[in-house]
Amino acid sequence: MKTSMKDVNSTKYMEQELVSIPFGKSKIDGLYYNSTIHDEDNKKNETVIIHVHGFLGNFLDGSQRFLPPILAEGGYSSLAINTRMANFGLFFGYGILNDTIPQIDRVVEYLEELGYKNIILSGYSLGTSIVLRYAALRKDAKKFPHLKGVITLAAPYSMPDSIRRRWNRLGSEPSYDEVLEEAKEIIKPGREGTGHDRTILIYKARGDSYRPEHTEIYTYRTWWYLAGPEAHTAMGYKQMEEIKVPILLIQGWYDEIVKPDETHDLAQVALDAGNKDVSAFYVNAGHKFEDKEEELGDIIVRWLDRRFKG
Amino acid sequence: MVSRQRRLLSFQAEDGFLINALLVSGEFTREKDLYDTPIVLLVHGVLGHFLARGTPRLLPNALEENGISSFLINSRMAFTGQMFGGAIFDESIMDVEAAVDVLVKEGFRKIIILGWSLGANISVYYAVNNPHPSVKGLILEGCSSSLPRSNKRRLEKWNSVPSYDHIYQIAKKVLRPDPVTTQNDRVFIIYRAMGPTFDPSDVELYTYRTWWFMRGPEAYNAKTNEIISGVKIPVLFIHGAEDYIVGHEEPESLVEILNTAGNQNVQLSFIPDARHDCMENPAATVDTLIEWLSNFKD
Repeated sequence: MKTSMKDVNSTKYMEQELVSIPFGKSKIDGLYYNSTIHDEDNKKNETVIIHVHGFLGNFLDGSQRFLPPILAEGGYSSLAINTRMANFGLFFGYGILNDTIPQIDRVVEYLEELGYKNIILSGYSLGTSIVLRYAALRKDAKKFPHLKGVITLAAPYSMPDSIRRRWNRLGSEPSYDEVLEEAKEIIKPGREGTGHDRTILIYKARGDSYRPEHTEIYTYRTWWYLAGPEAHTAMGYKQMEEIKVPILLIQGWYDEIVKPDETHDLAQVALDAGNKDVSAFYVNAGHKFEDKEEELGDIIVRWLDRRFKG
Repeated sequence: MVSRQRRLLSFQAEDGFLINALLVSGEFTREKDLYDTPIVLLVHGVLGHFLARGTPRLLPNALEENGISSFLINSRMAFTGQMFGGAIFDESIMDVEAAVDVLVKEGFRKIIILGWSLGANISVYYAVNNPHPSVKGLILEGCSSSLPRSNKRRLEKWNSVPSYDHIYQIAKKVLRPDPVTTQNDRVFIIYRAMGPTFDPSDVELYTYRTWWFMRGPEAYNAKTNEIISGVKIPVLFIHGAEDYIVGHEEPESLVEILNTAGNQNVQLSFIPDARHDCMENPAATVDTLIEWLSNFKD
């Protein structure tokens, strides 16, 4: 077969660059999409979007991959990153949500060094838990003046509740309560780093079969901090109450992983907490927004234009 | 002038699998020089990808400093492929084929495939299956002589749970009526697969089907020692002198098989002060590669 060396993501609207941002002794990998569309006086757009992946994801897949070129055409640059929760972080024990916060701090700092003044955080699915947590912790506009907005795509109202409901509905093996009982033993205070963690499989967690695509993998520790009943950091609604920057929520009507109601409820929490700039959009799509990529991009570009253009 | 390149590319294998790849090349005076110089097509190891630490991450830049371009692919074996069923060893050569096609179409005439660890076994399987004439040589880093035997030895060494033989018995039941056509598959965990504890760092994760074709006793194409005699192009083995994952005897035995089969253009270099990742000693690794690659310059 014949294939082409053309980069399917290359457009005349942007330049792509793989970046490795130094972070302590390691690095944060990302893919930077520098929009080459400038405004009428040839001034570069000062707004940039950070994209955070979902469950097992990385910067090469899903909305982290298809959105940046669309946003670039609208004049917005993007940086799609891999956090500690990317790929198999959940399987081997190091994918803890709160540990992503310093990583995002570093990414924000990197973008500030590039001259961006308006930094927007966008998360997909699991990534929404990360960006909501981050925005709640960094809500002080005096200390974090460049964090200007949050976008969530398929955001669970509460990751622990969403997972528990789904597992109970599908009859997961083991059940949510069985995992909880085991996890309590593993997570006992003083056991951090003592080799008491285990990798676990949950069959029938994402569908009604034992097939791999319906299976989830965690360690007890990563499960505890993402899906356990005390995983407050992963409860989006609790974070939402704290966030005062503009929020855009987008949800698929036919999402079987996150219920459409959850977006409505999250938006209501933000409004009730006094946030005056909360928008929610629904598109005719499932959890991955397949075949609605352009529509999703258009909604985001319009939302950005109204707030950050000119 | 051809400028320095760091290009992210995407293309499909014959069966539609989407391959992401990274082209790393330096400046060349003329386009012809770029295409006439050997390019290294790099295939990652277990759970690897083109940004994985070690050889994928470090080697391309080091080669570029010496005028050699690289093309790194994320095959179907990358990331979580072996845990969710997509990483079928026998099908992975379609990813190498597609990458070679891309390079040939672009104009590269001297393609050297470098496989690291699992990638080495994939590269051998590709090389015995009618490789493209523009593929001029193989570099095999940390190459196990047989992925099934290596897995069996390791699981027995650490007294894994479940044992190798038990996995095989379960796999035969799960993958009925046969592993090729079955619609059944499951994820499973092997505890104490990589070390003596039940800690996550010592586990391996597969589906029965990915294990069957990569690690099972009937994974014929992953038994490199049984197929490598079919490799007729030049081969360089590089192997960490301190590699405790793949023993010295494994590449040594593969060299002997190649020589016996009539391939005398085979070199084995042990890299001092390096374990499974030869780039733990970048100077020695790069020197060895550059010297060997010089054989392919006009």
